[in-house]
Amino acid sequence: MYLWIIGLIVILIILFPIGLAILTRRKWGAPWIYFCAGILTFVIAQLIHLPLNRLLVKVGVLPDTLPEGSDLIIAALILGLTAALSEELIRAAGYFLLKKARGFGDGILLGLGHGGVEAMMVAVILAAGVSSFWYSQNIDLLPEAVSGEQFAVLIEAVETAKENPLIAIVPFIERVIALGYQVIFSILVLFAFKVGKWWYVLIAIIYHMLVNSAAVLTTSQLDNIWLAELILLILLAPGAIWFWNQRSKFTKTERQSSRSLVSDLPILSVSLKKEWLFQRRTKRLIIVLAVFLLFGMISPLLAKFTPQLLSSIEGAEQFADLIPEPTVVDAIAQYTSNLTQFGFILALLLGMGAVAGEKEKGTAAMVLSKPLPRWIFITSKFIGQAVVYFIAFALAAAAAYYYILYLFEPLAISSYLIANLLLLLWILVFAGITLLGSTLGRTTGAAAAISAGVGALVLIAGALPRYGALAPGGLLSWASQLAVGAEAAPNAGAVAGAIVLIALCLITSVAVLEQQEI
Amino acid sequence: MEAIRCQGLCRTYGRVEALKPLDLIVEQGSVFGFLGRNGAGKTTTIRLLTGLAQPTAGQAWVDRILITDGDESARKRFGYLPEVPAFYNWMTPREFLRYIDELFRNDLSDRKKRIDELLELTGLGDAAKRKIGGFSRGMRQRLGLAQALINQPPVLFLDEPTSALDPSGRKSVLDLIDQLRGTTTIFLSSHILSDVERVCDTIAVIHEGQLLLVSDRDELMTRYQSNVIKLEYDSIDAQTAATFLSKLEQQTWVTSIDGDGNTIKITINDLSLAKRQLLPIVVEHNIPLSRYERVRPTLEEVFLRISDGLNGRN
Repeated sequence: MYLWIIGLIVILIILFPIGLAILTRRKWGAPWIYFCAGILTFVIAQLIHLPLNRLLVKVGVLPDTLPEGSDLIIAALILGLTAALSEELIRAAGYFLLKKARGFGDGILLGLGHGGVEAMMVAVILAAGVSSFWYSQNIDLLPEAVSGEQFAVLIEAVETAKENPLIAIVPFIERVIALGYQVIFSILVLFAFKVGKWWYVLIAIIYHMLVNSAAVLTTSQLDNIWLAELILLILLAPGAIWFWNQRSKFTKTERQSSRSLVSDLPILSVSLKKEWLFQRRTKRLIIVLAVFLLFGMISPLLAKFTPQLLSSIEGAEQFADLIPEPTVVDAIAQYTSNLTQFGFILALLLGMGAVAGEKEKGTAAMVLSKPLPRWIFITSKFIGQAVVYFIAFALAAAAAYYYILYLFEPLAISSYLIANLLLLLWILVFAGITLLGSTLGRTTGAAAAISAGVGALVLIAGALPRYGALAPGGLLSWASQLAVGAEAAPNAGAVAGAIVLIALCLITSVAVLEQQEI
Repeated sequence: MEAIRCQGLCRTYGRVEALKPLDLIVEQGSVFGFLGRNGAGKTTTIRLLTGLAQPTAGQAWVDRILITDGDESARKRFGYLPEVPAFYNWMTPREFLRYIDELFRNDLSDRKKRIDELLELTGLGDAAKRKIGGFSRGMRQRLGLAQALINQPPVLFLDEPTSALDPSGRKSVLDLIDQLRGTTTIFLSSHILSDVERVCDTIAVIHEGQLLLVSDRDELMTRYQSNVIKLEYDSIDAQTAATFLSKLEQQTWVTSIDGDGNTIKITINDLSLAKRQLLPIVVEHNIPLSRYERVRPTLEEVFLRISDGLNGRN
């Protein structure tokens, strides 16, 4: 029960800021690029904040572990101050550079980007932490980059969860409150630029410091987690009231979006139909299906007959003896390795021209001058590819299952299917990355270079000592174990990480395309 | 009532001012010719007005909807034919028009009829089932025109609509523009000045990103009218011709004479005197006159005079 709820909570934590951003975009017409700017301010702020805290520990200003009594209050205030200074000053620098970001919706979107990516990271860490805690394995999955209050909430949630599954909702409530704070801080800093009164940045820093200090104190001192959240909610109230009252000062000159999300859906369906036709007419569908079906069939065959093939080659007979009797594990290893290698290449080759090719040929200018929203242009391309890969995996999985059954032993169908879904998710991460590369690049060649570069970075990230398991590569090792029915800790962190990566690739693609001249 | 309004609309790329602050109003129902040399800022203006580019400053409205803030509803209010229209080569023209029609969410009940009519109108009825990939540039241009008209737009942006067409195709497009006059506002950029002269009722000239003038076509031609009278006559002997030209040169109202076979162009400085005295001289020399015309300048000449004048000042 608890695992299902926490799974739902992880998805909610990822989708909630995106949902709010969609509403903000609809209501105020604020461009998605400000959401991405918010993500960037968070990342840069953390690059300053975390080393700064480490430095303060090193020089003795901050203790290694949270102390008791008055020292705790001082430590909480210092922790709050470092967070507030790094985040609000970087945010102010962001507004200084983004001269056009002066609307109410712009400020909200920037705050949602900042708080949203933090929420997504928490979701990944929560998924990884809960799945590994729950199975009492692989404790290393917990990364260092967890802030004090997040870590406390996570531990508290997991420890008490077994007694009360509803406690799983706490991380979500905590993130909703945190998002509220981020939006208020963002509007406070924006207000400083809007009215030219710089002390609003100071107010944002002090408010941020007090809230963060309170978070450290409540999570470390209070046993009742609901009370801790209530205190944070009460501290949110003055900011929320100020925020509500400022709306009218911004909205007079605000952009207005005249379309609703619902009115866009029929156009999404039209665009999806066109993408499906594109996949069929350009033979992409048949190529992907043929490649996947081929490797679905030959992977178990290769695993089974490699020793016999070697023994039939003159001079290589002695190597055949070195190879142990092939098992289903070898067949699954072949299957995973072949499909992911060729899937990666196909994702790159077939996806690199998705947007760049249309920009190069001029078809993007033709259709984007029609009532085709750019978010639909991007998402329909991703969904079109996802459908093709889904069918391809279904075919490959069926073929491989048949040959494994015939040559080796039956597999547990449910685990095998989940393993294939994990492999599909892995491919979709690279489809998302390639789509982003294709949007960033002005030409197909540039798109290919960007996609290959980012794809390679994501693959290398899997080798990082503590965080590697959260990278998409973690999906492959879990899928391999799952397919053969081995006992393995579920790597929910990698699943959440992959979903976050795909979401961020799509949002950034839309944000970039909105700003581009076609 | 205005169909297009630009207010301080400008676009810079680095230090290059592709379009200097543009204030412009195009009246509803007019056929508006937008003239300029290559790189003058014509396509940049159209791209800003169709939402494909974002202005550095300023705003623009199409059919009274603000287009420059990214409001996608404005895109329902215009049709757009790019200079080099591009299509999905794997589609047939019918499929492409259906796709565009679906994007506009036009009435489903008469979709087939609408598409058939457009294919016939643009002469693509016989090629309706062929892949666009095999189309000539002229066929693509005509399909581009068909897709621009699919939503029966109140405003139509045509960027060099006749540049890739043969004479017959050009005539069809110009006839079509004539038909749309009054019901659709047409913003037409072209370097084929005879086309602009033929169909446009209002003309604007842009040069190096700066709007130089906006004027009613006839008013513009009158303003730049020159005092030249052209005579054409049948063959005459050399002596008669020499005497006739010599007599003309003696007139005080003649500035210069350009002769070319049986045609002469007389530039005059006193039109009323010339009107009274020229024909008597012709009669006196027994010239077999076949044509007498006061020369109107072509739009090309007017355009060159405007832009050359500006270059001269620069």
